[in-house]
Amino acid sequence: MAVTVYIPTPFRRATNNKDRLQSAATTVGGLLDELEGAYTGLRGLVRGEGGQLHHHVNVYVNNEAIEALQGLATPLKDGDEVAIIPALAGGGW
Amino acid sequence: MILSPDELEAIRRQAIEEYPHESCGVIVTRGAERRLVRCKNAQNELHAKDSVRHPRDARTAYYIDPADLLRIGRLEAEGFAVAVIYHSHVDAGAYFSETDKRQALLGGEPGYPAATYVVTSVLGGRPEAVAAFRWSSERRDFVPVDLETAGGATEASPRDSKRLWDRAAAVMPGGVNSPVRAFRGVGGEPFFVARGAGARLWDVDGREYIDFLGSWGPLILGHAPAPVVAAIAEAAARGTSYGAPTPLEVEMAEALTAAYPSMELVRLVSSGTEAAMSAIRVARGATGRALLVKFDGCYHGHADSLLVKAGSGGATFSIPDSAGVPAPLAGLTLTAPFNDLEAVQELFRARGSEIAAVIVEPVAGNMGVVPPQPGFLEGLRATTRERGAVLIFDEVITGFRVAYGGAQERYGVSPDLTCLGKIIGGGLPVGAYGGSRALMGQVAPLGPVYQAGTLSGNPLAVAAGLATLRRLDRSSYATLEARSAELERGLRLGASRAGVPLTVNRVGSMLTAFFCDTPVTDYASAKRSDTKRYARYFHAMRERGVCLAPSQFEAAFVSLAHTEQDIATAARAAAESLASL
Repeated sequence: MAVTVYIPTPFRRATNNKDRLQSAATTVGGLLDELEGAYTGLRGLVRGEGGQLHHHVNVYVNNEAIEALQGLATPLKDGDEVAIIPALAGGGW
Repeated sequence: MILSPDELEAIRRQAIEEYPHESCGVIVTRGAERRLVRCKNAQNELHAKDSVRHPRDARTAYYIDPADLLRIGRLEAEGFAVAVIYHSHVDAGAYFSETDKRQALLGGEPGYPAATYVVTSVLGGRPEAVAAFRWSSERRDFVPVDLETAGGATEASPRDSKRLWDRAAAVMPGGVNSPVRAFRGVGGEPFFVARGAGARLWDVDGREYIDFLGSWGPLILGHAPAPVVAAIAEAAARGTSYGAPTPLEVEMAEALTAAYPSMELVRLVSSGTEAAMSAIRVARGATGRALLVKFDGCYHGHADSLLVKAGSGGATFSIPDSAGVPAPLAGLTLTAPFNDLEAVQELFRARGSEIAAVIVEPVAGNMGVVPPQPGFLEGLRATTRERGAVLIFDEVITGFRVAYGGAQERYGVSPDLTCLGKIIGGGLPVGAYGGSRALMGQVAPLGPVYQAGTLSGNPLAVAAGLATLRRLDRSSYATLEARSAELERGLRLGASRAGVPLTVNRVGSMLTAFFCDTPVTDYASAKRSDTKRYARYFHAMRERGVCLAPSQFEAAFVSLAHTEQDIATAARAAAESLASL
């Protein structure tokens, strides 16, 4: 079984510029562990020290935010598409 | 091409439609194909939903809705690249803010290193300038790029400061609300300020400055110190003015009288000008005499009687007297050179029985910084006491600046009346005057000297002032002394290396570098400065990101927000600037 992970521009510097990765992980948390193991540059970019997602990073499974699913425990199955997307934010201050 | 004309138009229209919220979106490209993705600003709802995961990073900010982010992600997956990320600034200039920078960096690297950030400014619902910024890997910072020279499609869009200056000049005398701000003393056009934080100031064009103007003295903690901002916000939420007594006024009066033992009673007013004007009225009322003695180049605000041989703006413009001050009134003001005790004694010998008061900046700040020579303040104290005149220290600048207890603490000379302002308002409009119970007992409603004010003791101003004073202690002044001495050292070193004659006068955290090679002890010696050279120096410093007063005859103020690094950067800029003259 395999899920496809979409890596957007801001994180590609950590994935040798690959924009899609494959994984056999069965949960989102497990997937992130695996990616951070394989691409150490991702450590700190997606999750903080405590293992929680940074507030400015959203993870989607099949276009649905994991916040609305089961968070990092969200299960993954063959053919799922995962996207890890950092926020675009700023402001005049 | 950064933006097509249609894209620019769409971005500006969106910015106006969404005012007073910030608008946002991106432009993605794939080959020659371009798509503008107008996005939803989800800042408020995300913050309301989960303030921990989505903190409010800025007062008015944007946070592209996650649904849009996913849409952009899908476009990227289809081969589009994010070329432009745009947002608007509400009632602020088109600059790349600290918040923008922080959010654009992920782990210290830009998330979209090849994208252009476009910022549109919307002032009062009207579209203003559009500016573009790109990551510079050499400078490791976002730098402005020109929309036109980069092939953008905008018609010439002057800098925001230039546009504002034209609008200002059409509706305000000289475009300003206080004359020296108009840059007449140094030439050129002033910049318009977008915001300040700590020791730094940003103009509406996005340029950053280390600020030594410090709003002309009040900002001893730097710009927007958190405790002061919080105190103002808390006070404002309870109402901005009542015209009735408040507890904080009492606290402020207690704090002032404790710090200035010469003040047994104190009255709060709304500006230093008002404080000096009122103090003179008290002196005249108490003595029944009419004449004042002031010093050439000392500035005590713009009350009629005090616009005689005044420094500050007057020093630059060479107008010792203002039009509109009747000659008979100006005739009641006698002047003497600063630091010239003999001249004062001469005035007393001639007209002593008519002199109500001697008013002095114990450390002159408005002809540039000129310290009192040993014996000068003591001599004024003895002469006025002997002749029954009132000695007034105008400590609007020096109060809580050269020591917590002002110049009177630093030099150990007690005046009869003291004027305060600037620092005691924490950046809001405040003045105060006070003195002995006998003198201040003359003030209404206790006595016959009338003085009043709708906004006197204003709750916001008093809250800001108290929050400022609470942050000051003995160690603050040791820090200020060390930083300022370092700046002075840097200036002297830079000048000697550049071979530029420079006389640096400093008292604590206020200093002036006079462009002359002789000691500056009074107005006449200050006026020997080469003001044209100062003007070149001012602009050279400005180009290097250091903001000074736009006149030779002013002080530079070091605040507690200036770090050792800031001082080193400013000293380096000064050395370069001096070498370039």
